[in-house]
Amino acid sequence: MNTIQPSSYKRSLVSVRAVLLLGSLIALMAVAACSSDDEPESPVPPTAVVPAPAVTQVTPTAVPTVPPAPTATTVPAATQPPAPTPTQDPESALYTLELLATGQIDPNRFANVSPGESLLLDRAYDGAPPKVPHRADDLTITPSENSCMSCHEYGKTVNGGVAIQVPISHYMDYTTNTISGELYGMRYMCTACHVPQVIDEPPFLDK
Amino acid sequence: MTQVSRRSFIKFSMAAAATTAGAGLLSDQLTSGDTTPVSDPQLQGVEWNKAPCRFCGTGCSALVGTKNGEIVSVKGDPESPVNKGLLCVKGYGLLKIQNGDDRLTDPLIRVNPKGDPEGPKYRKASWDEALNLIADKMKQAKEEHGAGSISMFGSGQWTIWEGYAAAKLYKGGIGTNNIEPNARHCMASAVAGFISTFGIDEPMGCYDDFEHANAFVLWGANMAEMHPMLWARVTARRMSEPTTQIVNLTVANNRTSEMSDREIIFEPQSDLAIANGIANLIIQRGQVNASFVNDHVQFKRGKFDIGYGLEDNFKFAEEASVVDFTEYAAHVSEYTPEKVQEISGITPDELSALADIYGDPNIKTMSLWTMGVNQHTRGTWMNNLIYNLHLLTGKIASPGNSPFSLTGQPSACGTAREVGTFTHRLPADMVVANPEHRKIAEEIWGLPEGTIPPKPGFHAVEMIRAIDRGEIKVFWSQVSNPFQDYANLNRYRDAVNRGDVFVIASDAYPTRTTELADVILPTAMWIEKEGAFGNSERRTHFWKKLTQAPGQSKSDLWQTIEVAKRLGLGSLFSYTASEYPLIDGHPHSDASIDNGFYVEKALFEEYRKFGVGKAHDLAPFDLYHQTRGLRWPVIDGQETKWRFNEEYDSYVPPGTGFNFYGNAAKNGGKAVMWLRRYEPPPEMPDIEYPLWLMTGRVLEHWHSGTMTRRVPDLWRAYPHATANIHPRDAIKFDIEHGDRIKITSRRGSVEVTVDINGRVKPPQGMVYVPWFDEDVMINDVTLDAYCPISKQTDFKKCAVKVEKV
Repeated sequence: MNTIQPSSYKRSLVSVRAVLLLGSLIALMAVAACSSDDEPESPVPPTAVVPAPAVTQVTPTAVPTVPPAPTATTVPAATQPPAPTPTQDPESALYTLELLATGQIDPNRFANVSPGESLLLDRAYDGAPPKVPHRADDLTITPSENSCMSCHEYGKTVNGGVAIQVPISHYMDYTTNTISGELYGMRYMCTACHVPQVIDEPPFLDK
Repeated sequence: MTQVSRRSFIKFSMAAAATTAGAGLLSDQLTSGDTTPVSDPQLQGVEWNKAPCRFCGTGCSALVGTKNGEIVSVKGDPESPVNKGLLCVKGYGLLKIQNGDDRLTDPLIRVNPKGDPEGPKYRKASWDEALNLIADKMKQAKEEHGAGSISMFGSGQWTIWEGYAAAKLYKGGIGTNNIEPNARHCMASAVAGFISTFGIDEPMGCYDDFEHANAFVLWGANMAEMHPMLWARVTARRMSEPTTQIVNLTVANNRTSEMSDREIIFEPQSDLAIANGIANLIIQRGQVNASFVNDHVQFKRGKFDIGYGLEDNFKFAEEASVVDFTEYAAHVSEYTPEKVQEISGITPDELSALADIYGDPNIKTMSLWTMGVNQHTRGTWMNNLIYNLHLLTGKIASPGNSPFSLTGQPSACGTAREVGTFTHRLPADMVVANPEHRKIAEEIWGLPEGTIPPKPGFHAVEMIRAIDRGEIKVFWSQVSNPFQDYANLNRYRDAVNRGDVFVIASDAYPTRTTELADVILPTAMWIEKEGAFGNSERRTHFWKKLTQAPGQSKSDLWQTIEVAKRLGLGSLFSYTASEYPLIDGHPHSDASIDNGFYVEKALFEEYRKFGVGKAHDLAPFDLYHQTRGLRWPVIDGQETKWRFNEEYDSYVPPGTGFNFYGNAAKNGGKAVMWLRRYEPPPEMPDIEYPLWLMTGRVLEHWHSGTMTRRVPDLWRAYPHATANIHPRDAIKFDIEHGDRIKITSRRGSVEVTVDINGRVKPPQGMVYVPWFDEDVMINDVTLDAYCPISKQTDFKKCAVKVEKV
């Protein structure tokens, strides 16, 4: 099997990350304090309660009233790039500088912050999936490990705080209408719906 | 997911109990017909309707919320058997695809000559003026150069009736078969594979296979990005049945590799050798399902050294001879593990692992492929070779044992293939070259015998080459972006700018095609019209018009019918209001309202006549509005999940077990195993052009990005195409991450920013660039070589060099 050799770029990224991760959890907790766990698009499957109807008007699905979710406070999105400045977070500056020194700024300029350092982004609309406000290009989702869940798992605390939690809807199997202790398998690939954003990109039509 | 704690488990248990308690309330809401969750005040009064997603061939169903005629919300449809309540990020982007600020709202007529360095200039026109101009140009072209100088390039994103109306206008009206869909670039090799192996198009299995299979082998398909909701089902199977194996056979590491149990990276084009090598091992190990092969398989040898379609007017004709198993076994015996390694770079262990999966009768196996196999100068052969593995072992046409050709576009199956909008085809797998088939079509269309031209016209690549040669005088593009999506684009864009071809572009937004057009027609899209798509698993599904298109925009169907009227061919679409009346309260489309009858229903009911009783049975029109779609053949309202299998398919003669009835007339209903070999691609890296170039898509963007780049959330998720290259190659060519580079082939060059170790991680010797970005016209660089059998372009392989700008 031809395997990709990790580049020096990748290695440097990983090492910087490792150093930063602990420190950045503080920032994570600050964000988490005002996070919301709302999931307005999460439908309860009607299939188990209503026979699949031959309808012309499609019936809607409702949000489960459970669990008692944290108050759905809307957190204003960062209108400016959230990349911390050196005065705010020297370690983040180091991270950015390291990239700059090697000419390795992401060409698409994704939010250049690690998990936990970022502010919430506005959703596209009520019911749209939350966006990823931090770099995610080195996070992987494999059968044995889902990197996203190491911070975002429902009920998980990280250094005493909580990241944005995967809502309970993601644990429900629509085909059986049951909730289990594991992510519904179809939800396991977080990256199918939740994508990072390039913060300082002018709109498409400005180009 | 083994680390779920007792604490979280208790939480879930509580939540589950509460959900069950809430079910009664939900049930009341559903049956009352009110549509809005009371808990969400912003969505009060919202009306929810189903609509298939506008993008890929998966065919997810979305619930679209509208209020006061505006789209206000989109969510996954929990009643959809396809996506079971989920959507990918593009699906959520559907909310904003119609509302870009530069939406075209008026017909536009070009006022300066083409090729003007100032760029194109247009003036607004009325529909009458634009349509009369088009009709005049068509009449003039027909008079001076014959009907064969008129052409249309449509789409696997046409609704079923749009494609049907266009094919009827061209083949039954204008008198030319010069109509092709962009699906030629996308699914033609799959079609040729189905027809040559089974004598009938489209997969025998269905998505239910995902929940039955024990092993998934992906042949050059990055499903995690390109078919995310089907990948979700594969993932779900993998997570719920830990013995499930996923093998990602690929030329580059990609996101699909993450969830795969094994990644096998092979040299481009060498999949031909790998498939034969697996078959050889199965035979060597005595794992052939002899009774299945004896009863249901015929062996054939076709031509070798078939060429690459690089020359204008290239012709190919297959010469097939029937052979026996011994000859087949001798053919594949050349593909020893060592020989396969030499060609492909994969180890004997890796080949053996693949043979372990295919050869074991107890491992239910799904093969999955899309563009890696189809966009291939031996694409038809590769389709044949994958079927060979399933036929050799009898692992086919039963739950979980399923060679599954994934479709790229939302209606590549439903429109391009089933309606038959290819130059050589007619509906229901019939072809223009067959006099019986033409006669059937002429009868259904109420046309005199001899109306439909007996010879196929230009296939897609030859059509655009004919523009360069001056043979095409009118070229009409609908629901596609040919002047961004053809390979070797420089030649063809120059041809349009230089020549006297009259280009009509129907689109909702300005594109690389509209900028070359003489007339631009503002076009209603998706839920601005009533529509129907057919997805990868033979599911036909409908939606209603839910919003009004802006300005003067009209649907492609309306445009086609109006042009027909101006050509004196209005009778092709003159159905009666008494037979197909408009329905009170139904949100009829522009085409129905302006014609005074239910035009979509009229066209669909006429189209159905082609397939009923011929194993392509579609259900009556009204049934589709009431369901989440049905998989054909639909017999007495019942869909068919697994074709060719007596247990599930009523077309299989009783007592036969399996019958590949597409070949009934040819060989009594046997599938054909073809002897195909490894042949090299037409262009490979060399000293001057040392790298492979591979192109493809990204998760966030659909095709040329016309819609998705105008959705702010998708735009910001992946604004620009980048070049992914291996770090060692970056060092070798003195390139750093973030540099601008020039990628050059023998045909053209493009500038792009480098992303080392981006989402696709090519091995050394390859650069990957997605094609969605109109500012990175990678198809200026690609090669327009095609599979001689399917005529599908290979966008995946050509030789390039890179240099820092």
